[in-house]
Amino acid sequence: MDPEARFRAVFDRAYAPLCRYARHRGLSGADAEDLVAQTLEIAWRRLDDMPEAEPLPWLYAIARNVWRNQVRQDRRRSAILARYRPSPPAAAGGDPARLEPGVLRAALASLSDADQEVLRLVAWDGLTPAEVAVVLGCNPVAARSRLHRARGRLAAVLGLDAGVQRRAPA
Amino acid sequence: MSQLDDDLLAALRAARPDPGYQPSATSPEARAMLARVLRSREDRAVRPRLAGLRWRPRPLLLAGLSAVAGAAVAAVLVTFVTAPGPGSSPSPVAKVRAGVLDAFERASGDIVYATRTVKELGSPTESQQIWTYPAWPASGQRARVRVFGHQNGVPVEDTESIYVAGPWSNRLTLPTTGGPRVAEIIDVEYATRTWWRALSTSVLLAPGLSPAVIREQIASGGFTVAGTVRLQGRPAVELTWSRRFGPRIVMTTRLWVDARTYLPLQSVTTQWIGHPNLQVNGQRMPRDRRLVLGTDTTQYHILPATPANLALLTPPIPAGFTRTAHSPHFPAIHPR
Repeated sequence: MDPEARFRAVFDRAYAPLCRYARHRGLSGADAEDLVAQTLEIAWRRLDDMPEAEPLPWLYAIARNVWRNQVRQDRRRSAILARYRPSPPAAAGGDPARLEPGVLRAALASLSDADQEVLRLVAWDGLTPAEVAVVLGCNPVAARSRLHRARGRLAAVLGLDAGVQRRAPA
Repeated sequence: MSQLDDDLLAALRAARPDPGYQPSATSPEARAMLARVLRSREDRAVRPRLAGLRWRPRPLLLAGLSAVAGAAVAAVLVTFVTAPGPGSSPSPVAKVRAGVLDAFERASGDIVYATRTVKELGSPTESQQIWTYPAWPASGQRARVRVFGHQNGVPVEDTESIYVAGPWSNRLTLPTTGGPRVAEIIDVEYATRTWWRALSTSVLLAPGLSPAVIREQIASGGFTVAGTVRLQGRPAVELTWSRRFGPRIVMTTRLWVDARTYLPLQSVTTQWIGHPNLQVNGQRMPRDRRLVLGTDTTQYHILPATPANLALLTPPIPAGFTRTAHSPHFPAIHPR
């Protein structure tokens, strides 16, 4: 397959997930378009480095770097984000399924950037821990560990007992 | 991993923003993005100064497609690369420029047959068949152009213009000053079922992005090599150039030339408007929306100058049409 045909196929497959990735990071309109377009432009230039079998985690890794660079460069926006980072919500207790989505998102936003990212990649972007490892540039064991710790901190913010949330095995 | 299935992550999954958001890779904005991305690799090579710019749409405004087409193509628009420096390899623009001009020179004695479709907002679709011979006439050479125009598929006017080419004939619109000019005109009017033949002081040239205008643009170097695509089943080099009209007016032309022969295959000239405060029919447009007001699409075919093909340059007079002494379009010197 010639390079352009290969890239077109990847574009068709990755466009929607990357748009959602941008949306899940709070971007919309031209900002979201910028993130997706810059990610794909880098991918097009580095096509030889793109994994043949499963390019999406590799693309997420690029998107993550682009997004972080955008945030880093836009100091004013970062300052605003930091100023409005919400306080942890009051302890909810009980069943997580009854939590309001807004409370969950606020709790997520109160975590560190690293914790937020690993939880978003799994819960919102639908990645497996092995795919998260590709995005974060670590091994799968470390990715699982990060996810476990982030999940525990989210539970703590929500006042949930992590020990009682696990489903009983079927 | 058991955590993936726990209630907390399930609840978090349900709390994702915009769960109904379904972007499509086949949407117009996605296809436009794909085209920009594919062009970016070449652009980066020839436009280093622009590499860091973002793609956010700029505010734009439009003028009529037919009114500005000639003026736009006659001007040098944006030149990103000039001559290569000492010891450096030729830039993509320089290489394509040399290839195209050489190809045009080799095909200068052929016929260019073009099919042109013009769509303007609020106007019926117009199409034209255009024959130009010689394809790229030298100054002083006898040139022939036939333009057969249709509107919504119905024949409207069929005209042949025979004139002596000069520097002025490389432009779409002729100034009224600049010395006397003359053309032999055959004009067939389908609405009135009449035809007219005379010498006229009005010279009809090939409209739109004609072969002569393309050559002027390429010779100026005012274009960007956007990349290589497949068009009509063959590899084609895409060239682009744009021109602003004031702070908000933009007309963008994309021209594809055969990657092997460098002869023109197709051009698309688009005029569009986009502005933060743009209103259309009283409705405010989204900030990032562009309103395309006109598109001119032309496909080019190079025909050998055989007797049969040369005969195509003369409009046939349909049976039952009558000859008139006056033309509503061409001032006559004297009837022939």
